Amino acid sequence: MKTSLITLLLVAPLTLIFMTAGVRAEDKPYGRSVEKYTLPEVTLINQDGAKVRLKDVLESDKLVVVEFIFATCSTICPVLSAGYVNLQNKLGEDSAKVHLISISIDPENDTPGVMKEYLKRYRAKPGWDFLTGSRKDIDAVMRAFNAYIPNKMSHYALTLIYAPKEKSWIKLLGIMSSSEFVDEAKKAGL
Amino acid sequence: MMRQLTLMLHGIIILLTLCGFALAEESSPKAGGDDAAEIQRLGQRMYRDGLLADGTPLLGKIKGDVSIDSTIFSCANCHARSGLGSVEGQIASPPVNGASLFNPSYLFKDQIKNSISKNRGVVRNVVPLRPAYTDATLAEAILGGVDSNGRALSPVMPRYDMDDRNMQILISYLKDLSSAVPPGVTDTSLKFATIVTEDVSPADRRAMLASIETLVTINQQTKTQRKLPQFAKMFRMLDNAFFRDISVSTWELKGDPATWRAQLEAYYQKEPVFALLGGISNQSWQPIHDFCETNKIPCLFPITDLPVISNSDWYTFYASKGYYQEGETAARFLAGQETEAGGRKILQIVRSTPQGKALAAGFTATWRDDGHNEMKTVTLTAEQKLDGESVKELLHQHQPTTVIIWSGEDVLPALTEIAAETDLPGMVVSSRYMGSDVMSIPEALRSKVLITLPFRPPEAEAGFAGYADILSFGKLKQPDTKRVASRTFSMIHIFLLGLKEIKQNFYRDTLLDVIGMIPDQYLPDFVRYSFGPGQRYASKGCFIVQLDQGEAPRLIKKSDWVVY
Repeated sequence: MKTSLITLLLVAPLTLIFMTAGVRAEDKPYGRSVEKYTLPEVTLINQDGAKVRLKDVLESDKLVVVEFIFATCSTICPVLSAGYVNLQNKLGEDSAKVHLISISIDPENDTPGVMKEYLKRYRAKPGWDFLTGSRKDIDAVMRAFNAYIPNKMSHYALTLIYAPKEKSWIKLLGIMSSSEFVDEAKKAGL
Repeated sequence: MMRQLTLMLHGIIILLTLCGFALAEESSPKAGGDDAAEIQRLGQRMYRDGLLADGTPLLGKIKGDVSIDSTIFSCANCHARSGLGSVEGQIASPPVNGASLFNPSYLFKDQIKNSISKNRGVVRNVVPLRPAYTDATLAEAILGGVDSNGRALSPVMPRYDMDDRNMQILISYLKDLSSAVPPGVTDTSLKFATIVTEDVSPADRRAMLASIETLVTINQQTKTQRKLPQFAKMFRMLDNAFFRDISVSTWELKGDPATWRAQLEAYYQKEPVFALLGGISNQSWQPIHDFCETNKIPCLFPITDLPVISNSDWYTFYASKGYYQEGETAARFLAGQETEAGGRKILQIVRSTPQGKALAAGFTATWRDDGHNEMKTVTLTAEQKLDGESVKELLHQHQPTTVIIWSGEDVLPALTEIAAETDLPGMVVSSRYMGSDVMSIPEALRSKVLITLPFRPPEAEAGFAGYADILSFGKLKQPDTKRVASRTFSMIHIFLLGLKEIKQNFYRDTLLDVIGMIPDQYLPDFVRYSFGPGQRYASKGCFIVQLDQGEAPRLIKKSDWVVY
């Protein structure tokens, strides 16, 4: 019994190594659903260091888009942020009607200075804010959107659009093309 | 009981990870013509910085119409600097180094079995996931998003726009990327070194080296274990592929730090190593940091409170920014507290030592970044006296609302002398610089003095007691008050996680890439070690605390672990 336990312990990590190979995302259409969320009472911090009450920003009369990212993320966040850049460019003057929000899932590293630099790198136009906060508050926000992940490296592409008239959220899972993103914004009331 | 079990598990994990070594690929670098160095430079710039040969951005598209500018988001973002790829959530960015692209791709289990068979002169008949790329099929993948099997690549892989010349440069760069076996690596061994500078006490030196010696001893035990019947089958199955003899030399640096660089170069020339494991110094880590940057040698979590602060340097991983981080935290905390109508008037008294200067550098940079210009810094030379009288004089002269005192053992007597004064401003001191003196701050001042605490408070740290002994095996005669053994334990723990993750790819950048992707680690000393691609300071936090009243005061948290 003792021997088999030791063998199991020895072999288990190797098995894990074998299992990690060959993961690959498929080009499938993004998932869509309409959701209601109860937002937590938290105050986050934006790229200018200003305190921002989450409810005030998200439940406004404006169309709001929320994504979870972090500044040093390798793959998903740059793609999501490229989506924001393209949306702002595609909407032109109308981009002022949409409030884009990126919420950090690596709050300890993403300080206002780091977030400001990130937005500058992406040449973000006004109307795109990056929010950070205490880990407890960020976890509460992720949980409220049913998007909690304990490890930032296991995060996935999720876009949430708040439709102010219906007071509901459109949950979009996966990567969208720019035209799909614009269409979704229009469906939400743009 | 629970703690014993945890400690035992840690021991087992270390043992297991030491068993989990893989084999480095043989490689065949291909050089171009006379201008190979220039092609390499341009290729590296394209891969890492997203610039084409003419200096314009490499452009591409995702999902048909999402434009990508590679100066924002380059190949290296997803495929990692070493080209060995990354896995994030459900998206795997596969390896793109030459050895991976220009060979068939197999399931990892087949890859291992193949390399073991190859060592025994046997060829396995197994179907690859995709055939080897050629220059033409690779160009098709980069431009059109079709792999060497004719299947579409993941939609998050941009379809790029580039001409033939740029394509040749990129392909040539990828062929050479992570191809040469780095110094210190052979089919049977991995060579490391650690660093001890002359100023380190014998006890601290012992505390670090004892744990590192255990790492080597456990590694050597695998030789005995392979003869044991219960492990024999596994060892036969894995052959030599998973085993390397680890050796760790101690490089002693003596004399003036200005001469360290030459000493390091001499050691390295005599004994090329794959990476530096830890190291310890009471002086600035700068010369060692610079040596590692120049020679592209990873240096993992040296025990230093005086690291180099940089957003872009690559080769040294630090546990934290040390004293600098305490200064940074104090500035953020005060900026967040600013409510007075007239604003806060800061007086910073700085002892002109490396510690004092690092604390002040962190404070000043952060305070200014936050848009504050109003602050006065008074620097004390090493000989200049700091006592109650001199503090009172400075307070009278500058009339600050907050005085920050970045000095060491003279702080407590000075504070004691002014304790009876009325109308004293708020004060900030460093617990690391003051040491145990901080617990003796007079009762009358406790509500006025904010203390930076870069570690877990003692009550919370109690849960981590014993970690320092796991690898030192009770060899240390003194308690680990300076956290040397515990920080060495953390270094070895993270190194082994990295070693497990690099699998068959013993490249220096891969070691750094994979450590950058490991999940949060809960280890002694710091509340959390967190990582991220390119991040080089694992612990991001520092508490602001105050002493409560009473004869045996406790440290009361006034802030979260991370202050914004």
